[in-house]
Amino acid sequence: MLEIENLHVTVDGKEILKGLSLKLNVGEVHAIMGPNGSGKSTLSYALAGRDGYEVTQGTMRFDGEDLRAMAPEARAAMGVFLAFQYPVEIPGVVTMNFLRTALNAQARARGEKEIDAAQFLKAARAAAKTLNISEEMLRRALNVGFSGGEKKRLEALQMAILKPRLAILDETDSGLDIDALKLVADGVNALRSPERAMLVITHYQRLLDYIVPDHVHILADGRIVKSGGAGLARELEAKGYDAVIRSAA
Amino acid sequence: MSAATAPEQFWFDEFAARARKLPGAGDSALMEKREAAMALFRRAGLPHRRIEAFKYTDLRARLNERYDTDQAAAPAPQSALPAWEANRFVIIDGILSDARSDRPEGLEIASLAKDSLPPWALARLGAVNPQADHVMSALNLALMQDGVAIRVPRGFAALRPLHLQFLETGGEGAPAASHARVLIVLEEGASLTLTETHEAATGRRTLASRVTELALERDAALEHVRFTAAHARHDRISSLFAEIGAGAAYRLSQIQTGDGLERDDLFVRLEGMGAQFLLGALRLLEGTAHADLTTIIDHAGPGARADQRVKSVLAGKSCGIYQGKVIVREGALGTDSHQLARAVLLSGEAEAMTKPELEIFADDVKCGHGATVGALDPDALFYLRARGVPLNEANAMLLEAFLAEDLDGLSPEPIREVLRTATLKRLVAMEPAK
Ligand SMILES: Nc1ncnc2c1ncn2[C@@H]1O[C@H](COP(=O)(O)OP(=O)(O)OP(=O)(O)O)[C@@H](O)[C@H]1O
Ligand SMILES: [Mg+2]
Repeated sequence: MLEIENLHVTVDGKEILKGLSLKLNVGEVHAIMGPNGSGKSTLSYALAGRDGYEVTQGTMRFDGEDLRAMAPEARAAMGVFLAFQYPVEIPGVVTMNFLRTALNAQARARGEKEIDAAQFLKAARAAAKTLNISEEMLRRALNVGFSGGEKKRLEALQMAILKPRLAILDETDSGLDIDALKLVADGVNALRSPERAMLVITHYQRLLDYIVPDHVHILADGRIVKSGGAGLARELEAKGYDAVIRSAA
Repeated sequence: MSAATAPEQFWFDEFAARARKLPGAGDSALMEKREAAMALFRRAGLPHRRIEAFKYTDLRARLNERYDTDQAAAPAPQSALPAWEANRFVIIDGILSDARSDRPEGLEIASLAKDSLPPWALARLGAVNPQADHVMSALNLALMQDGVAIRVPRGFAALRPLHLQFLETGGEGAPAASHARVLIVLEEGASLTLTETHEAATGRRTLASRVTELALERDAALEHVRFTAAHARHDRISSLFAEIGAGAAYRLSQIQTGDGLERDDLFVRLEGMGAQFLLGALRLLEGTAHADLTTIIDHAGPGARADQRVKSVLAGKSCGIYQGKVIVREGALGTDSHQLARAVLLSGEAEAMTKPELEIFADDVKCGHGATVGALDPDALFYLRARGVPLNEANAMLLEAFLAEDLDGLSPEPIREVLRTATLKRLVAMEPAK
């Protein structure tokens, strides 16, 4: 489903990803772990199509299509979803309206029918309830004044509503309290299916106790330096990045 | 002034040729006003860039046609906006259309095309918050062909909004110009909602010279909403003069769209305790649009409040100018006067210019001004697009958010919905930032 080969990405003239390769098959969940500054968010932005993340070498393909040639909204319409590490506050845009606009824009781009208002409201309310998000929050401006954990729960809500085929979760667990972590993990697991794939970026084993990955990769200095099964995450937790990365070199 | 330029000479000749045929030719008081106004125009000429207030808007260079001022009966243009409940006055190419206008009850109405004006109108015509040497309104008065004077009697609350619908005929043909005027008097405690739309059909060059005079006596209230849709060959030169008595409140919400030249002069005098003026101007400019809003708020008495907020969305090569001057006269204690200008630039070639000016001769006043200019937040745009919202829609969403509080604040509701829809349509059509 997702094939990344020898990806080099430069930000502001500085090379951050230096030949990263990764392959996700449909139905799989991969976890990426790695030290601060190793390039995890850079990878997720490059996949989502953020301006200024220049691919200087290599390829990213989704369903065989070159992602580089596509605008962010086109990638989203194909089913690529990024849960932001730092969700953006957007004053004046009401969360609920935004959710519906996004859902309908994707439907239109795919040539599907738009969802009617009543149906949407019902679905959004139900999804919000499972993530313990109040309706009052949905009436507020997008992410404005939300606590760190609330923002992350809202990212999970967007994922639940948009039902992407490839979900990239960039530290969605950071900032969540213990109960919220469980709710968000339940939400992710509910979406797990043979038609979808997930790329879970995290620093903590705790999330991977709930969302058990098929593969774990360690990203260091812009490259995948080691890959393994779910056990690799536990090894990291026990020994730390330094030791594991050194032994891989 | 030195030798007249060709555009100036055109208006001298125009006056010489037409004066005797203009409305009020038989009324010596009105003719005196016209003569005096023309004398001022002869002395000063068209405003040009070396006149400080016209630094950014050189009308002598711009208004350079030999205009046709005989308004031939062309097919009457229609408004592109849905109608709302109102008493309507339809003004086509500066001429009040009796056939398409209502006769509201409870208000006193006088046509300015009639030979004899009622004393209350004549006394105030050209005399509301007058500004020495204001050339464009003088030219308007000298050559005024038509317009309407309205008096809302003491204590009368006009429930139905009054709507002034200005339509300019487009199509083929020689450049056309017209001079029209509106005078509204709200007597003590009277209240009115006034809506105004200015729509110009594309085609020939047009010059709309418009003057509005508003006299609000003590405790009167005027809610004024104005919408303009200009095009590149349309020049709208508008001056508004207002006097606001103690306890009276005037709110002007103005939405400007399109790519024409629009010069708005706004002269507001706050006369006493509790007088209030609120301005909310939104400008959505494209192409080579040039909108110049120049205001002078005169705090003549104590305890008055003024709040001006000007927001511009500037695409293409458009230019949004706001020159805001606040005068606090001696004795105007407790004045509260604020200005805020915010502009979003959608292109590297668009320009926002803001020039605040304060002249304060009293103590114990609160005056402030602020200005911001910038592009839309790229992080916000990316966030929306990453969720599948196309660039132009994401752009429009953020612009709508930028304007939201102003659009939400429009009143009354039916007008708010019509103008909100018209505004959002423009936003979606606007060229997004690259
Ligand atoms: N605009 C920029 N100019 C220069 N360097 C940048 C820029 N943006 C990011 N970087 C650098 O790129 C590197 C990778 O950043 P990235 O955000 O991808 O790290 P990360 O692995 O997600 O880290 P964390 O675990 O802290 O989230 C960092 O060293 C960062 O300082
Ligand atoms: Mg990161």
